[in-house]
Amino acid sequence: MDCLKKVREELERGWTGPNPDCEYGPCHYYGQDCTYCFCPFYPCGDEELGENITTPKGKIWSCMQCHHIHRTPVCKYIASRVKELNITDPEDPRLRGLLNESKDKFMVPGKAIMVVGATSDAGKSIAVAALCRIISRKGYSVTPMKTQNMSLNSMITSDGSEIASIQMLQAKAAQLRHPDHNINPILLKPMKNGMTQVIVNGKHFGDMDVDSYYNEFVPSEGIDAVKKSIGILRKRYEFVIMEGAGSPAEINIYDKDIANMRAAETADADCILIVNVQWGGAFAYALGTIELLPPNDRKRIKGIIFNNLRGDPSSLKDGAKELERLTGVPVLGIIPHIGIPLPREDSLTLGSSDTNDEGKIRICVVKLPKIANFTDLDPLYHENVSVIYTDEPKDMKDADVIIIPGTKDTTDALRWMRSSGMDDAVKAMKGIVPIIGICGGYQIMCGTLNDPLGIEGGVPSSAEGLGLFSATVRWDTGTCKRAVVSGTLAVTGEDMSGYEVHSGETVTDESPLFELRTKDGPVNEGSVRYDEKLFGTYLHGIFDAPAFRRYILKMTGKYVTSEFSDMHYSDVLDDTMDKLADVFERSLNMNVFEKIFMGGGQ
Amino acid sequence: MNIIFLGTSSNAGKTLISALFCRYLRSKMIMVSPFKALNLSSRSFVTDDGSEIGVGQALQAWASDIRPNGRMNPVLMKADGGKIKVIVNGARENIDTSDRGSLLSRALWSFDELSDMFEAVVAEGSGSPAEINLRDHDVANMNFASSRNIPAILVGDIEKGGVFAGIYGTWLLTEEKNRHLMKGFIINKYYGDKEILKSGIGRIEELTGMRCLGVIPYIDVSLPEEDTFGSAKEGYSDIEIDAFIASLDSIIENITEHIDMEALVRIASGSSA
Repeated sequence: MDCLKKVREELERGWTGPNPDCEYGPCHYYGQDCTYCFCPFYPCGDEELGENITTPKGKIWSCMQCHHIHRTPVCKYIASRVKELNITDPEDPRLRGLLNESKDKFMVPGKAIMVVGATSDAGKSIAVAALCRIISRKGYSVTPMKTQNMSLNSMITSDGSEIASIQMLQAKAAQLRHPDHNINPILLKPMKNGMTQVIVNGKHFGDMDVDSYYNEFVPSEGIDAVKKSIGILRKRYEFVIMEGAGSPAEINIYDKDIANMRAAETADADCILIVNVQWGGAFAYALGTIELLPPNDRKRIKGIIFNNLRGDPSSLKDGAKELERLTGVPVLGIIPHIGIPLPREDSLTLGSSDTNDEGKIRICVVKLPKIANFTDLDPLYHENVSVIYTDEPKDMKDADVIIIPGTKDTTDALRWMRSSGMDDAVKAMKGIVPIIGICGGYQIMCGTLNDPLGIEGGVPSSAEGLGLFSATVRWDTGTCKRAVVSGTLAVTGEDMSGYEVHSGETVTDESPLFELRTKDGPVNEGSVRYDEKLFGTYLHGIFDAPAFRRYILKMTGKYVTSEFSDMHYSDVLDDTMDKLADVFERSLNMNVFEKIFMGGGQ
Repeated sequence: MNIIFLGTSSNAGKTLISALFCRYLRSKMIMVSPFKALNLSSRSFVTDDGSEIGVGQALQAWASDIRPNGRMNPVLMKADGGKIKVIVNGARENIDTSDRGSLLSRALWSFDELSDMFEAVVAEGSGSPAEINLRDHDVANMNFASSRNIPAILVGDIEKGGVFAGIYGTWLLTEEKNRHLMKGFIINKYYGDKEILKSGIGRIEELTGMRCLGVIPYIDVSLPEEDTFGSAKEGYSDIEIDAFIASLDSIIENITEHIDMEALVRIASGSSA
């Protein structure tokens, strides 16, 4: 393709605005301006806008994260200056000056808004997702961010970084094409014995106890990573919607908390306090949170949202008025309890409410200790199925499908399966119902698990798995995979995709479940025994595409095509984010919100 | 000797802590009765005299080595197929539930009777006492406590986070004329190193004048949940009751590590902690 010719055409044509109907778009974010589809400044070499990356074809200048040239005011300005200066040649040296002019004029740090919660589970995550979608729908470039997230549900970004799944979902709400590690620079994955795996900028940094995390890591590398990511995101986006962690008013650890008000201060964010009314005491928690903050931080709280109300909002109105009077902070609105299935964030909230007992197909998920990546199962909640998390061996015999999910500690999970009798209960169903092992669950289904270096369990070990597959798991090869992959479901040839994040690898004699496309050609993945209905894979996200989901559900004999969804989960989520944004828009006083939180924006 | 345990939210642990304190007083040979002015629950227990009371008060009665009776929970509001049934002093009465004044006077009447009969009455509040939108309707919390000058202890659940905000906010929203009754607070469901909480606790003590009377770990006792609208089990087997009492006794053996029981006794006796 002749890029210079394209740029020449663009220079002649002038401003054209966004092109929402483009078959390739949006390349960066929803609402972007496409006047300069081919950048007249490429390769600018400006590190504030792009970076050199290494690809199989060598080093190239990547503009994936540059939004500057795709913002309408910038495009209009450049188009008018091009006309004034009568620039027609793509190699005109004056173009470079236009880039700097436009940066000086328009590149101001984006507006940061932070949602903090009066308690955990207040609804911060969904509020951030909803605000991202609301602001994105208005045509702004917007990104979510959580400086520090503790979760065992993680995903891999397209640049190979590991971040919390919920931030990936919020990025989807923000309609971003290429979220990277900056939206969750610190990910904490709890391990056993009080140790935590610390992931910084998407890569494993180290394992720490609480003391070394807060007293050594946080004041140095921790705060640095947070500051750096906030700076980058504010440069790239017009709005940065941040999520706090837990409550911002944990006064006993206030000076060590880099997930709440300190991050807000770094980003100069205006904050919204969200309070879950479900447990009662909402007014007290709201007032107490605000009053316990030091005056400078208190000033940042510019709005309050009550969340999760079942019942009539008018019952809260008098109290809300009183709270406004006491705090001087406006109540932006009252969000009702939302009945649509939303992705779950952490195992603390895995409880009876996650059991929907009305579905036609009964899927039993073995509730392993340190259960991880159970977001894999989220797509199933949109089908006519019941997803039942259980640690009761007796539940297995009523299952239509058994899933052994991922776990942070495979050998420990295996010990638990032995001691609880879950191993025999699962094995008894072999050949009767589909048994699917994902990641750690797959390792559990194998024959022997060798960890001579103690990489998984901390101490060297060798254990017998359930022996459902003729396969061996080994941790001594030092493999630690993180990648986004696509390929086909071997049995049907249909497309599927997923991502891998695990330590250890499996050497298997079984037929492969998937065939992956890689730059080195096709690669087999997973194990399958069709006659015994056994499926094992390292891939997460396998139920997202309809192929494998449909294949397994059909195997139960209870599948009626008309009753099940053939949608890709990504589309379901997109829909869900719109519905969520609709609920927030209806429930919040948007005039007040825009005046307080967006007025200072661009 | 009277005391009331209030919660910063529902499920903060009022019921269990009240039961523990009843059991502790009983172990000191003090005749004690539990009390909850108003209970909103779908689960009830039928007493010997045919009264319906909340299951929490039945359990607390057993912890006090006495038989449950209707006075322990004079007003029980039961959700029943979308409607709310109001049971006053054990009998289903057709009364105006919006007339909280008359509900409060009936509750006080029962409380006074218990006060005459027992050396100590250990009361628990309902939900949060700081629901400012419902302040005029409050029967079970500060309206009750202030009517009889009962010292109050606030229980906050640390598990869901924001416990300092919950305690401080509840205290701030307590009407000034009643704040002198708020004597102390207890932090419930804590797993970690207590040392970490110290500075936060000190700050709340300084701001409110309340004293921290305990930091207790998650206590695993098979207490039936009160506020969920699940299936109502009307009775317990002797085995279940014995197991419950035994688990309270085993907790009380080491309770002084977690709760300053003697300070609670002093507060209940009307002296300062």
